[in-house]
Amino acid sequence: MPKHEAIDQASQNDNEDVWIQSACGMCYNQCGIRGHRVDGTLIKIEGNPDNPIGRGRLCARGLAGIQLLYDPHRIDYPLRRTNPEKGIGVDPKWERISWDDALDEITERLATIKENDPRGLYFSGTVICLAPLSHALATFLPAFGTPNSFVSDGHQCGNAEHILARTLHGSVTTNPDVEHCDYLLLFGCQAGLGTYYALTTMAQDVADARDRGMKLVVVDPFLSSAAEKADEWVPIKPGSDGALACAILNLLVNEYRIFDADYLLEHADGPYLLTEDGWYARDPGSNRPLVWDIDAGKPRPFDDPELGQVALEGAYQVEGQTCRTVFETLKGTVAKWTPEAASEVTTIPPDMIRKIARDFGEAACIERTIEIDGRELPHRPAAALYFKGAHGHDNAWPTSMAIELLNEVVGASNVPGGLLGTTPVCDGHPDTGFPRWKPGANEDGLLDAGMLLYNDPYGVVPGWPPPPTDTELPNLRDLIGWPITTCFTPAALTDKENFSFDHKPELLLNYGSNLLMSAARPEVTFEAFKDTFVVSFNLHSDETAEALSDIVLPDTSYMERLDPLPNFTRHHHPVGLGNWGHTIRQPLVEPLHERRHFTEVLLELGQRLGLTETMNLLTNNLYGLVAPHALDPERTYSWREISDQAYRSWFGDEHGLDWFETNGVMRWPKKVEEVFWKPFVHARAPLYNEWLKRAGEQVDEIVEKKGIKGVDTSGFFPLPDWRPCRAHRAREGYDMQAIYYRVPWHTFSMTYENPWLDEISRGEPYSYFICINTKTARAKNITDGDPIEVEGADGGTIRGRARLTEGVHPEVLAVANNGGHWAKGMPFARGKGVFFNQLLPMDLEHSDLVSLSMDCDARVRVTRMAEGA
Amino acid sequence: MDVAVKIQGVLDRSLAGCKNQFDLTLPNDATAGDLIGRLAEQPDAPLRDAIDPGQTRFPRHIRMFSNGEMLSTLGQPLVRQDGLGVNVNIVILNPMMGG
Amino acid sequence: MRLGMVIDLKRCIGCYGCQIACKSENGTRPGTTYARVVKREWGEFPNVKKLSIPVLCMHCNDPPCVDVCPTGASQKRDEDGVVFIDREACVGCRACMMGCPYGARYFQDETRDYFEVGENAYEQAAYSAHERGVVEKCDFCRSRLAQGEEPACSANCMCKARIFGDLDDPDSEVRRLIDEHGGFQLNPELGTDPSVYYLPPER
Repeated sequence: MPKHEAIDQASQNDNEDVWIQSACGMCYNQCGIRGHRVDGTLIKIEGNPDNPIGRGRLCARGLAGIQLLYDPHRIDYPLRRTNPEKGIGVDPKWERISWDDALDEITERLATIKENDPRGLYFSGTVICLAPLSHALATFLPAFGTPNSFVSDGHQCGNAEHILARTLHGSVTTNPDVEHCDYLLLFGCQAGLGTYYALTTMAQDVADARDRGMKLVVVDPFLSSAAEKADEWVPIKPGSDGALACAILNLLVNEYRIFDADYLLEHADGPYLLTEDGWYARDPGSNRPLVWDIDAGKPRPFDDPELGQVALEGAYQVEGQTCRTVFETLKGTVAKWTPEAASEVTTIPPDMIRKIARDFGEAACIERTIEIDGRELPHRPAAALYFKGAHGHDNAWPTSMAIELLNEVVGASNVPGGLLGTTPVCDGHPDTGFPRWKPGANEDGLLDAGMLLYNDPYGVVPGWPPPPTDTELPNLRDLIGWPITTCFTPAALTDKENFSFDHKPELLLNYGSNLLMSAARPEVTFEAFKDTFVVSFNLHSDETAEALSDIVLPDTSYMERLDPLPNFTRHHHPVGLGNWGHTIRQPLVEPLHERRHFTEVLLELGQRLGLTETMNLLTNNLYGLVAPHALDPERTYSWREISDQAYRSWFGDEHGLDWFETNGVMRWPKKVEEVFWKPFVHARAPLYNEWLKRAGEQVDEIVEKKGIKGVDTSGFFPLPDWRPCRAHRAREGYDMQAIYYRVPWHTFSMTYENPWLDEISRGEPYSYFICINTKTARAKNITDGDPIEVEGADGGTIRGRARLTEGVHPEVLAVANNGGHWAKGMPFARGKGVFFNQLLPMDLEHSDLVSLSMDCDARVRVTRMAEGA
Repeated sequence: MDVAVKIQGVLDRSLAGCKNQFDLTLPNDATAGDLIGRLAEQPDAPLRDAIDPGQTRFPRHIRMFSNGEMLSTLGQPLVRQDGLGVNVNIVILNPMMGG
Repeated sequence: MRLGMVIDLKRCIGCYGCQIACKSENGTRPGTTYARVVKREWGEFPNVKKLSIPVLCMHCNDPPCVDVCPTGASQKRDEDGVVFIDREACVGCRACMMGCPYGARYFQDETRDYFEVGENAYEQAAYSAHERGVVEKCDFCRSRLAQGEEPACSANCMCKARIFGDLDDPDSEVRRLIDEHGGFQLNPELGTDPSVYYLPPER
């Protein structure tokens, strides 16, 4: 691109000096930003002090957005592949085409697919662009009639954690209330210390809390950004966090007897009786789960108004069966996890395990209360948080359960000081009452979330989880419908032994995802889609576009588009007291060259294909639009008009699009009952996942009928336990485990192209290297800076330079993020960092079926390469 | 009243030749549940087995709009007290979006 | 008034936000990082510590860079102690770079671009403030100070680990933090009396 073209386009406004409020899009947190534009050129991005998401401060990525906007390697025009050969590393030989030509061809192909079998349309997208992604998932795709969507970051995401955030907290995810917390235990997570949800706000709050004296304990195989700040770094063998958590649970409930009996009796299913087969014992008349009435000496339904004192522990005779309470069963299940047993698999000394359990339990201060805003609330100043590092393994489900229950057994759940759902309760703006949601209780008295990612108004969506029905979809969502996302589709499409589908991908519409790099070993994804017509929206010509795309469309960056409600999915909204905030995302500059907003293109495609009526209705559903602002299905609306209606529906006619363009943020104070909702909403957190036990039997039935061998439900535990992930055990000749970790200045693979962020990595000791423990390296004759080769026992080889450090477990190799780009269209990123995912297979064997997530570490061996190799 | 029903979205492909438009006549106070019940009686409607008896809330993957407004419970009337016809859109969502 | 900065090593998480806040505010070229982060590691597994130490120009009270400057381009402001370079007067001799014990000064001797195709729109706007052939460094964001704002790095720090203020004011936050938490200078034995203080990471 000629150097001066951008200037010519940008300098249309002279003598201009404006600050524009918007939302960042360099990761999924959508923090508040302000862009400073002078004479048409964006010259600075800062945080937005008016926005509770960030409170005026940004991470390195958010500040570096300018170099994404003006990156000369951005895709500026639609492109078509002229090289008929597709392949990893193959030059597509792009030729420039017009938007009309591109859309004409896409429309024709989509119309044919819709006519023959709409399931031929597959869709994948990146979670960084959550608002446009959601719009596609919720409106265009169902209107078109295809169920075949898969979010490519699914395996990287918190798949298992999200399931439990829903059942236990009524939300998509969680964050601790550090303002009132004294002891924060992190498992493979860097909340407020490097990554995770609401980072810019959490960073301030965690720093304040640590300043005040909150103790920080970080369990991680690598001395990460979080571990760097820890009072105690607890190095652990990757994938064994569940064993540690089971041991802590065992010590708390069996040995130390530290648990919140009142909480477990009233706000969890602790007292529910279980049959010998492991089902809730139910009242024959009402089908309600039974509890043991100590005073009456008999079982009664949990909501019986005549209930006396209820038993939390013990075993009782019900209809000739010995029925233990859920809590009693939990005690029994974790009893085998002695500190010694856990030490064996985690390599953490037993005394350290005892210390953590005692410190955590005592810090929880069971029975303490605190007064906030005139309300007396339980105060549990201890929280255990986990995410990718702990549960990015094929034992994701039991690991996640074990850690979550640490909070539950001490009652540190959705009360001050403990673990909070990310905004499960909202009463809405004081003027309009929108958006609003609140959890309820189902017939078994168990928590029923009021919303998840999207605001399904008025609680239309009935009881969850959806039962397994079939195996017709490659994303397995008809079989395993309860995780939020999955990237399993390429694995299912290529697993001919276990799956066969009566339709195949005719066209893959890919919104910005570099799934070839991010969804495990690239060969699997390539194999799945090599015969598919691929249309992608991209910022750069990345690995996936070059290997697979037939047409590439120039995407607007977040700095060049309008999204009215970038925060509407909520989960990255800060928890704790403070303000609600809804910001606009509006262009900081008009889209450069021929870049177009994905949502606007979808609206046009929808019009061309006759889908507008249905898309309008589903838009009403997605944003909860009510009369008079609901879209008329007979009309066609521009994206600006839709955005305007969304604002008016939520915040009143005085607060439409023009209000937001000027004022930026709609803010109102949170209420105590919204933030710490547990004492105000009577719904029980299920410690026992009876629903999963039932689902497991239903899955078994289906796969038996279809003759599928590879689907194994042995991991469908209703209670926590631990079993090793694939990479845990040594195999002949393969003595190490390789993991990847996150650094605060990179997001997935996207940011490696950013020169300012690259400059950080080049000045920082670890992130472009493969980190290896000093002693381990010396024993293998590896010195600092040596080129080394890492071979996976399950295939794959990666190469990089060794960085010797004491800050990594002796059996572990640690690599930062998703480096190692090879795409010609990302010349800045090419060759920088290490491409870890080559080591990762994507198949049933390496997956946690409950959560459809994968083992993200690998069993490997490492050798020094000759220099110059 | 006359009810014109259009069913869109992720239709059940196993029902070969299923229709997705119906013109029905229902009592003026008919509810969403009544409509679904009537559709379930049609041999070529893709909504068979959609509702269990006693169910009051919509199946998780179905959205119903009456004259553009979304209905939230099966007991909700399809409206139009003036007896004029009603346009009903039923959209079947994909499993990822079904709540 | 003596403007200075306190960097709290307990709060800092080494995110490099300061490096980019500074870079984007001042529009510096590749290799010039007025604000940067040094990482240190010590100990033996499993008792290992890491530390992130943000560094910048120390705006010393007794600045050797001012002493050695032959043209008087390198100056310390009387009113607030900010050390800056008058570009007009600088001839690029780089004696100051040898004099500075903190490596806080930068010199672009040849064309360096981030992108091989040359400068993009932002860079064309931003680099116009920088000439080649003169020394450059942190000046506590003088243009922001003139508007009553603090430097970009401390304004942005998402851990609030950088506090800016008047070291001579007994009621200022910087003064309070230094006195209460034992704020220290880096390499005080060099005798330049920095205006940047650090708070201990463990306390």
